[in-house]
Amino acid sequence: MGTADLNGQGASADRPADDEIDLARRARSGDRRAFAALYDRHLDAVYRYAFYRLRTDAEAEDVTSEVFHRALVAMPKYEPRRPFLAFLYGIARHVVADQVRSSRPQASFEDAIAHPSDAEGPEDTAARLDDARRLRSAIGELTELQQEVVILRFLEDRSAKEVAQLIGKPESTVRGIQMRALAALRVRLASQRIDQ
Amino acid sequence: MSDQEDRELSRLAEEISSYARPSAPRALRHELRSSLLAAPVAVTRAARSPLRLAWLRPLAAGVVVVALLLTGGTYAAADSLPGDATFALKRAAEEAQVALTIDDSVRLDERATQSDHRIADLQTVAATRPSALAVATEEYVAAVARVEQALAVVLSQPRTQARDSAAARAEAASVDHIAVLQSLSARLPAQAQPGIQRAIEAQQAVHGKAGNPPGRPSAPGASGAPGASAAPVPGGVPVPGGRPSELPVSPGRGGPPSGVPGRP
Repeated sequence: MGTADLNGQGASADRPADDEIDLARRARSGDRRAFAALYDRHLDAVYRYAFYRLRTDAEAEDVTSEVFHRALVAMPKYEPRRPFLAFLYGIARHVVADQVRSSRPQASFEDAIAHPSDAEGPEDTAARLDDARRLRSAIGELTELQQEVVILRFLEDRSAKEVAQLIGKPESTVRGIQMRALAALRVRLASQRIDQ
Repeated sequence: MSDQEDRELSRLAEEISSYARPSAPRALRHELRSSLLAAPVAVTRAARSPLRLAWLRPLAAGVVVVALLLTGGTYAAADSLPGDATFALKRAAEEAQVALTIDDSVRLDERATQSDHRIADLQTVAATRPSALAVATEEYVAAVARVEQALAVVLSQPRTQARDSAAARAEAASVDHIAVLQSLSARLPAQAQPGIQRAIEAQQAVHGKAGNPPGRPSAPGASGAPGASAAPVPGGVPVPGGRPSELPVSPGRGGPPSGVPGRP
């Protein structure tokens, strides 16, 4: 399984790429277009994280928006040598936690089936998005840490080392969480198939 | 864990990896981008170090002395807006920063950043202090004129990567600002419209220059090319150079950040 780096631009897990550092420095000093370039680069990763951590697309959009606005406000405190995506994930974890705490009872797996994809485009694209929503429903049954590990390891293709850095746990712990999460997910997905 | 279970979990991991990777919806992508570009947030400038150049040290020392004398005032002026008594101090600090810059491309970047601050000021004033709108608009137009001037100097020089990058950034800023101004124009009352239109025209002048620097081929349909006409920009104001704004501005999901005027 390939792993993407935290910047997607040839950087190592520990150090961002030079152009990312330059963009981050400029963004930190108030250059909005530099911030917009970082936004363009990392929007989808943040959205996917929110998509799989939350139960509805609308919540994922709200959280994504909040993450980038908080990042913009927090830019003066950002340390450019730290990968920007790690900075965004750090904010996203807090925003998702706030959202989960404050949200109303959320849409269930049955809701996802009852309200199939409204995405435009070919049917197979819509079907794939519905599959993603079913997976999201199953992921939602996992513990918070298990959710993060599954999303970052298998849906964002981060290495165990990167995930360990992002969630602040030892790599061995991440591997343990990963195995337990997969075992739990196998049960949930099997249950979904039976229900269908 | 048995080998078989281990294999099953590995297969499951691969299956999960093959699931769709949803991308952010297009509407969110555009609205949030516009909102981030337009959000009136005061961002602290990172410190620069002109001391790397030894011959500048005496000058820098003098500036430091003056800065120390003015520290209290400049600190107080950092968040000031056009129309405030301390705004002049803020402008003086900005001019001092430009004066310390010896590279024309960097100076253009500096001017473009200042115009970013002025448009953020303009938005904040529009949201919180409409009585200062005329002053804020004047300050913005003056900042754009300084960008245009710096851009003319840069474009008169032989092509280098730094020159082209600075011109490209000025052009990108221009496009962004026009989108923001159009968004403002739609919200502001009739008496503010002439000022906003003047600001748009000033920014279009920058866009026209930056979009067609010497030695750079004109885009198809660019102003001045045979048969070309100015491309329309959402909002009805044509942009010389034939490049319409790519930044639709709409007040939807992704408004200004918490604690900022305009945030629902």
